[in-house]
Amino acid sequence: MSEMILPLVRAEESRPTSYLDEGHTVLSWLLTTDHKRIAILYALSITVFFFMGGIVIGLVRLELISPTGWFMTSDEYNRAFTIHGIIMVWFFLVPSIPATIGNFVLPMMIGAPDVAFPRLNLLSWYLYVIGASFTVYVLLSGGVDTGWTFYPPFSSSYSNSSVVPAAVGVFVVGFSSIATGVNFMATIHLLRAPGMTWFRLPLFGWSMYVVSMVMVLATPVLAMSLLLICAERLFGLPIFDASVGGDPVLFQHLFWFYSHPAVYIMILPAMGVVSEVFACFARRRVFGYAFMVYALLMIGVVGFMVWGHHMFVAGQSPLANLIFSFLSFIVAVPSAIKVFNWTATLYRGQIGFEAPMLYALGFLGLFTTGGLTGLFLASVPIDIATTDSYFVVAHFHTIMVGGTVSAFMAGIHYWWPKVTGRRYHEFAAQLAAITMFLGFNLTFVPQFIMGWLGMPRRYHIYPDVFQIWHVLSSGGAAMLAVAYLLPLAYLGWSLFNGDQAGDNPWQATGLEWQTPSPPPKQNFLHPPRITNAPYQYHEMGRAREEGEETPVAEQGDVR
Amino acid sequence: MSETSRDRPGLWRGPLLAWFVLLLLAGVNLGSAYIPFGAGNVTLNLVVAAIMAIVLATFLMDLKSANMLVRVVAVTGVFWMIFMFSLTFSDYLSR
Amino acid sequence: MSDLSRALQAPWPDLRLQREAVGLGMWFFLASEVLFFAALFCSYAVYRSFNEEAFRIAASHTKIVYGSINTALLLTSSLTMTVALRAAAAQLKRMTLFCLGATAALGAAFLVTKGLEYRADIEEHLIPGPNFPLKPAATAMFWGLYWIMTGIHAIHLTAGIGVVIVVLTLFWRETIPVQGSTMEGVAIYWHFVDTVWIFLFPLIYLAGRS
Repeated sequence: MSEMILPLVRAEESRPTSYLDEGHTVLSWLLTTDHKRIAILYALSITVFFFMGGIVIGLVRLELISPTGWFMTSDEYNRAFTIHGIIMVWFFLVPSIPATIGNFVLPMMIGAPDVAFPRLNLLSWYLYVIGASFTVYVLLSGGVDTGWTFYPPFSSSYSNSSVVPAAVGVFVVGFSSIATGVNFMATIHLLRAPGMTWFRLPLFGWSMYVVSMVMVLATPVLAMSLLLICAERLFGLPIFDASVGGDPVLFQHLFWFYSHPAVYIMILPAMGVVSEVFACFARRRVFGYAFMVYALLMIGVVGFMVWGHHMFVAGQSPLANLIFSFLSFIVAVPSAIKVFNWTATLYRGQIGFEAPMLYALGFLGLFTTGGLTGLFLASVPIDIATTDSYFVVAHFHTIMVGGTVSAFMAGIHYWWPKVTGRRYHEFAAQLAAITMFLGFNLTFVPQFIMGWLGMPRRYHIYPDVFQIWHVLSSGGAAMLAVAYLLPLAYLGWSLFNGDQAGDNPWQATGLEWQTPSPPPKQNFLHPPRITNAPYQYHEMGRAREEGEETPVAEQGDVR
Repeated sequence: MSETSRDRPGLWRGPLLAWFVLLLLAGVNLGSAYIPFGAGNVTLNLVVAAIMAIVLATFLMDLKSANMLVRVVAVTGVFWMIFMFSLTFSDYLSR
Repeated sequence: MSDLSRALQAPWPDLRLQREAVGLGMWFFLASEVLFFAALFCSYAVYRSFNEEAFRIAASHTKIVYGSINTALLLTSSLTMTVALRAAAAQLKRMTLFCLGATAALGAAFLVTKGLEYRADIEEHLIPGPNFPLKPAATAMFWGLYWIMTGIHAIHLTAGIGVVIVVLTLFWRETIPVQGSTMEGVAIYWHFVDTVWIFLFPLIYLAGRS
């Protein structure tokens, strides 16, 4: 059996060099192959894009206060919501948890010194940056107005906007996703520490595996669908042109073949994060670990078979509608199993209400309601009425913002001490979490209501009767803006003034906590060896306040 | 892993045989195209192409001696292609 | 062997595991490439199923001689690539270099043939647009797909040739030893490009022949 030849720190060194101190030049960051530094590069990049996408939609929500608009033309309005969608989906949500938290935590969680292909990891970040620069070009050149969905024939023949640069930006960032997926799958297959069998892998690790599989299999189809739009637009090749027998709905098939699994790319990592957070802050193992794993796998696979539910009124045949509707109901089952199991994990736990837990609880409630509204939409007769209304907009924002962003925040706060070696100000974080939850509901519950009442999506000018709901929603958006700015403030503050975190401030199980905060470059001081299942909180047998913390350097090998 | 024989003819023998079979099958495809089977032509062509792909993957890409994981990964793309085709055609064939 | 230590990359503890990783990683990437082309093949299949006759007419204008020559060239290049991989594993540096060179040459010959074919197609105005000569209208759909499918394949092949030439140079200069993990990935990718052509050939060239 091959040995893990880790460059070990000598026993006399009590304070190993943190990965943050291995080189202080800009070049040492831009040319790093350390997965932890690459995670931070990603985190900074996606934060920039999150705020870009957020500012744009802030302007949209401001505009929608008036039913007749007041500072945007309709053309500008179209460009605004389009760039919001493109940025948020591809430059924020898809990479958010995998490329930041996944990159940092996954190798440590499995006891590895790095990912399988460190240089490919760096390349994936550069691909992200190159794709992102196209998006900046799009913004500066007047934007694109097709909606993030790029439907032909408008996108291929009629739109007078920067469709090709936008498509190219997304195309390039897609390869960043694929590279990350390849890397993570190889890492989990081949670099698990001795004793870390598949069924001892923490659920976050499993979620990274399944999301990687989905990224690798789905993203290329998006790439091809966008390439075909560009071919039609640039070279006049009539792929979706009805006048020569083309079918615009074919684009929709190819586009949604990716874009539906894309929403699972966005939610699977979130599910992984909250599993970790619930276990730690309820001091209990995750209920039904095996079924949680099977549920992740089933979502990842069946999620590829439901894309037609985005096309119920597009001209798809009734038979296909039936099949896709049925499969969409099926894919809800494993998600429901997970919600039940999280709830059972919390039951009779010793619940702590630190910020990670507050965000995770927000996730639990909002993912459930968002998922239930998804079932409404999976039903063809209901979808015929609600399609392209604000009901759909509210549904997917509930899952993506209420779900994924909540979980992303939970993960950021949970692993912050490990990444930075600092503790953030807990009360400020709890305040931000509650503000986010309240702001979210004020923003999107009115949207469910007005969608149900008939307000169409992507409309700039709308009937007066919907104004009250739009005003409420925009008020909620203002609250959300505050809730997103608060973490910037207190997390930034903690970098300079936060308390030292200690190696395991949450008294969590998991290999990533058995190493100093921040970790040394090679992750572990002693070679990890795993002898038991994850989430051994019952064995710890005590509430967190009662436990003392032994610094990692004084501990022996991991249990 | 493939045999690390230092014997030079040994390096060529297996691949040469596979190559010859591939050329033969390509010839079958080409030749049969000139015989009017109607709808059978494209079916035959695709079946022959599939056989060629299997020969290539098994003997030239060494799937013959690869572990189970690699073989599963190798067919996964094809599997997903089947999802794409079958569900897309469920729409087109019933319009 | 100090030779091998240059081939070993972090975080791998030994070369055998690294080779396995590179092979596995490349197969994962190939799964994504299969789906990339699958989207094209699916489009082709959908349109052909609705425009059988138009596709037959359109395909009968493809240059079967060039296409058949290219098939033979690519299949032979897979042969030379396989031998290159085996030679590398057996640490036969000269044989590896020779076979890699032959592979690149065969690939380049494919591209030259393709270029001649494209020129012939352009001379016949077989580009969808105002001067497109064929009827009915759906023949333009076949030819639109023709340019995209063969074009994307050619781009993949070009990338492969580029990689082969770079790797050949690195081996020749002994920057990396031939028995490292590089050949694994290169060979798997090359065979994939050949496999795509195996399916492209009948769909593009053989439809209108009888």
